Parts: sequence; structure tokens; C-alpha cells
Amino acid sequence: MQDEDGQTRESHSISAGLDYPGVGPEHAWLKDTGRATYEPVDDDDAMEAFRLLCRTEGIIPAIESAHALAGVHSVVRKLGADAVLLVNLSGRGDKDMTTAAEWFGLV
Amino acid sequence: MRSSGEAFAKARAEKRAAFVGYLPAGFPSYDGCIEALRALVDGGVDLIELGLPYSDPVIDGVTIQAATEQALRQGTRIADVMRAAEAAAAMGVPVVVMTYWNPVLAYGVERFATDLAAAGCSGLITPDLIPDEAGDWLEISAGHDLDRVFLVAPSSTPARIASTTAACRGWVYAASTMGVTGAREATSSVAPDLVKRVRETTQLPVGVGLGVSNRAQATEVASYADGVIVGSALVRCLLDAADVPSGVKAVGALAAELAAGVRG
Amino acid sequence: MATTVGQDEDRFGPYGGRYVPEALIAALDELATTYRAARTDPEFQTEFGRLLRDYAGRPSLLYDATRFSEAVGARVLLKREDLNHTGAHKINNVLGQTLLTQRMGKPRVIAETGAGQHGVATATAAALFGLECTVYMGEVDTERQALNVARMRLLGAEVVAVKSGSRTLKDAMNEAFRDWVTNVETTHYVIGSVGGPAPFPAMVRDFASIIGTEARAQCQDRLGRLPDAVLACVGGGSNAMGIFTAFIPDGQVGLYGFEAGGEGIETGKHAATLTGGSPGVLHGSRS
Repeated sequence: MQDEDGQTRESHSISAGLDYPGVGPEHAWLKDTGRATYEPVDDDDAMEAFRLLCRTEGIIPAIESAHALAGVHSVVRKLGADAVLLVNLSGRGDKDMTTAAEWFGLV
Repeated sequence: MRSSGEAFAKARAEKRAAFVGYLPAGFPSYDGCIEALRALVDGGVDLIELGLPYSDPVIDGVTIQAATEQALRQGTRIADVMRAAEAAAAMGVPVVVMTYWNPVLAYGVERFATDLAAAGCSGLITPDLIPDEAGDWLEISAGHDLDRVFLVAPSSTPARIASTTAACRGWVYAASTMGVTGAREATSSVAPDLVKRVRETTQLPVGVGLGVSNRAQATEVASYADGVIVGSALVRCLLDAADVPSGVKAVGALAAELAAGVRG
Repeated sequence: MATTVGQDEDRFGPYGGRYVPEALIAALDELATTYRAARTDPEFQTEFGRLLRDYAGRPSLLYDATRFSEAVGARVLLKREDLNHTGAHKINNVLGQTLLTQRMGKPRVIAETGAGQHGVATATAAALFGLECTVYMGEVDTERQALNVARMRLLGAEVVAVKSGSRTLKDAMNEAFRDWVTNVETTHYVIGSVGGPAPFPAMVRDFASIIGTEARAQCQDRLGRLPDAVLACVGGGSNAMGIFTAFIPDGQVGLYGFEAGGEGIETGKHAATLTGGSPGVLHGSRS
């Protein structure tokens, strides 16, 4: 992410692990070739998915991973209810307790 | 347009090394930078290295980082750098622009080269572009008659020194130490060997940078290199000054000292 | 040996490459050579496999999230990388790179970290291997993630709060590069994602690809077939490459990466590089 002079723009995300203005070159290539699809998930939807996994499975995900969980809705809309989805639960959410507590007003 | 090789040729004719001075565009302000460049020229610089401020300067130490961050905060754009370059080129010495590669890519390599040539600049120093990645630039710089100054380092293998100097035009920039820009108390002990290794591969003049800050160091480096490159120490004059006029005055004084230094 | 620039494993179409100071090229070449040798060395593979199993706790579980599935209206399987030692997928790549560091005979590792997970993983592996460790973290992040700072220090790492630029992950990475260019003879830079100059993108992907290799086999066992789609979050993109790679040849399996949309793409306050960015060079590679 950059301005027209090539100066890097600051990124913003509720997830510190995703808060980076660059991306690996192979992803750029997978996107160009159409082999993989990339979509944004905003903070609200990620935190909603974060809470849903906590409440339905007793698993507290990392907020990073919650972005992938939130993406499930979009993929189900595309592929239908019969589809089987594999989600990478990349990390646990212990480190995100302060952020989550503030977001949901828990303390 | 003047070739940057001209600066080295002139110094060589006078049996001395050239003094290459770096200042970033837009620092301490647009006008302050122009005044500082004028002081540099009046002080006796042979070649101006004008820095293009960039958001992620990975090879710069704290001094140049502080200056270029300020320049960017104040809204310095590539168009301003081109304007400053044009003003500098009118001061009577050749000018090269030092830039990280992403701003050139974003601006468009062809467009950048066109504007650079129109501003009367000699070429580019590219600290994070190695010739292996420079396909577009090799071709476009040739089309615009611009110098290409790539860096060699103490860790460069003989094969890489040869391929890098073969891709250079104008002169070769030898990074005297492993590290980032910034004044150092002692000059490098590996630099003379690096210069020797470079000369085994090319007839081009060799400038040595990273760490030189005073007259004695300039004299020492001038004893084995074709050019002595000074950046952070000049920038430091402007950073430490109470106001722009006193900073500009300090730049002029240090430039005169370094110009004397390269004369032995 | 000559630079590996131009070889297939360093480029992904027009992307990748090495946009770094010349001073680092020798170290990147050494790393590429060491890595290429390790990849086909049974001894290295055995040691890496042993560490992943006995230390990181692999294979990680594949979990059928039935109540979550009911709520979202389709069957969802979770690859439980959260159950690895240190709590995230990051340990896979870090163990691989630490083994390489040992092979190169370097006594020190450095790393950048945002949330702190990669820093913690690197500090952990450094403690395990008896290496000196420095972690660069943006000052803003050291405040947001104070507990992870304490964790890294407890593990013996020096944590440097980076005060330049925006004082976040990208500036921590700048500072790590500055350290590396200065201390490259004794130091390996453990890059935590599939970015950076070659060979990092391909190497980190390979170390992380155990995720997808396991998951693919686990799906075959559990379902008797492959999933219809694989989903992962993408920042720098290592966990996504980790789970995607094994499925890339399976054309019928859709691959979906989800970037941080922040407050919404239209607000400009986001980190969705592929959706809202343009190609450029940052931290050593073009993407």
C-alpha cells in the first residue's frame, strides 16, 4: 500500500498481526493468475466471528484467525450449504484479551 | 547536462580526490535545502548527491532518517525533489539523485528518467537496487544518457563486484563498512581493500562512503579513493542548528573543511 | 556461488526478487545455498520433523466445528494451529530457520514482530538452541502487547522498541534490516512471513507448508475427499501460504485469503494490500 510517490501508507487493523502494508509476492501472483481469491474482512465482522467461535465451540481464536472465520459467510454464499470448508485457525486468542475486552465492553 | 564523471575527471586533473556531498531534498525546508546546497557548492563540493526522502529508508542511520522523516512530514513530493535537483544543477556542479527504488517504480521509471534528465541531473544512486533487478533502469538510463551508480560492499564477492561495476555508468559507490549511513569515529580498515578489488574490474572512478565526517578522515579516504562521500555529518549540521541560517552556515564551514581534506 | 536471482524459486511471475542493499547479497546467497542443501538432506528433514513433533506438538488437530458450522450454514473444519507450542503457526517456520542458523554457524538471530507472536516464537527457539536473540518491535506495539514483551524478555531475548516512522511492524522490519546489514556475519534474520528478499518467500512457505500437507491428508481420512474451499487470513501471508500450498495442484479446491479490511476499504483505514493496494517494492521484494 503506497501513495502515488511510492511512499508506504500506514495500515490499519484491529489485529496487530495483519497490520502490515505489504504482502508476500506469491499471494500477488496467485491473485493475478486467479488461483486464489482475496477479500477484505472489516474489524466489525472479524470480531463478530471471534465471538461466534468462542460461544459455539469454546475456542478463543486469534483476531487474525477470526478474519478467516468471518470469511466463511462469503464462501458459503458462493459455494452453497453443501460445501465443506477448511479454515486455518492460525493462532489462539490469549494475546488478544485486552483488545477483545475493550471491544465487547467486558471489563 | 553534466556527467557525474566530470567531477571525478576535474579532481583527477588536480591530482586529488573528489568531494561528494549528500543532502536530502526538502530538509530542513524546501528553501532551506536550496540554501544548504548553495553553501555546499560555495564550500567546494565537486558533486552533489541529492537524497529523495522515502518512508522506509533501510540503509540509513538515525541522522538521515530524522531528516528525511521531517522532509516527508512537511509534504515533500517527488516533484519537489525534481525542482530542487534542477536548482542544484544550475549551481555549477553535477548532481546525482540518491533514491530507494520504490518511489521510482511508483512514479514510472521512464517518466522519472525523463524528468531527471530535464532537470539537468547526471543520474541516480540506487542503494536498494542491484543490477540483477535493474533491467528497466539499465535500458532507460542509457536512452536518457543518465549515470547509473550501484553500490558494492565489503561482503561482495569478486564475481559480484565485476558484474556490478560492469553495470555502473559514471562511477562506482563503495560502501566502506557493513552497516547503515552515519558518522563514525574511525574510518573503515576494509575500504582500501574494497577499492583495490573494484579497480581490478573497472576503469570507472570509485567513491567511498559511509562514515566520513571530518577533514582528517576525508584526507585518509582521499589517499586511496577517487571520491569521498559525506552525508550524515552534513545533515547533522542542519539538525543540530538552532535555526536554518546557522545550519546553512555550518554546512558551508564543514564543506570547506572537507574540500580542504580531499586536497590532502 | 553466484546470486540465485533469476532462478524460478525466487520469482512468482513479476513478483519477488531481491530489492536489498548489495551488502546483504552474500548472506542471502549463503542462506539460499544452505537451505537448498537442507531441503534434500535427510538428516535435516529428520531433525526438523522431530522438532515439529516433539517440541511444537505436531501434527495439529483437524477439528469438525459442528456448532459453528450450524451457525454459519455449512460444514467447517478447523486446522488447529492454535494448539502448537507458543500458540500459533509461527513456530513451524521459526524452527526451520533456527536449524538453518545453526547450520550456518551463526550465534545470533534477530526478528521483527507486530503482535509479538513471531517474536515470542523466535525468542523460544533461540532459548532452545542457545542463540543470542534481539527482537525489534514498534513502540506502539510494545505498549499494545506488553505481556508479549515480558514473555520474550523472560525467554532471554533483548526487545528493542522502535521509535522511527509509524512505530509499528513495518518500522520494526526496517530496523531489523539495519541490524542485519551491520551484523550479517554473525546474525541470521528470521523473517516471520512470506515476504522479504529471495530466498525468504519460498523458504518460509516451505517451512509453513506442513500445515496444508497435514490438513490435506487429514481431510482425505475424515471425508474421503478434499474440502471444497480452504480459507486463511492474510497479513504478510505465511499461514495462508502454509495451508494453500498443498492444495494448489487441486484445481477443484477454492483458495480464499481474507485481508484486514480495518474500518472499511472505502475509509482508507485498512490493511487489505491485495484489494486496496498497488504493486510495489517493500522490505526486499516486489509484490
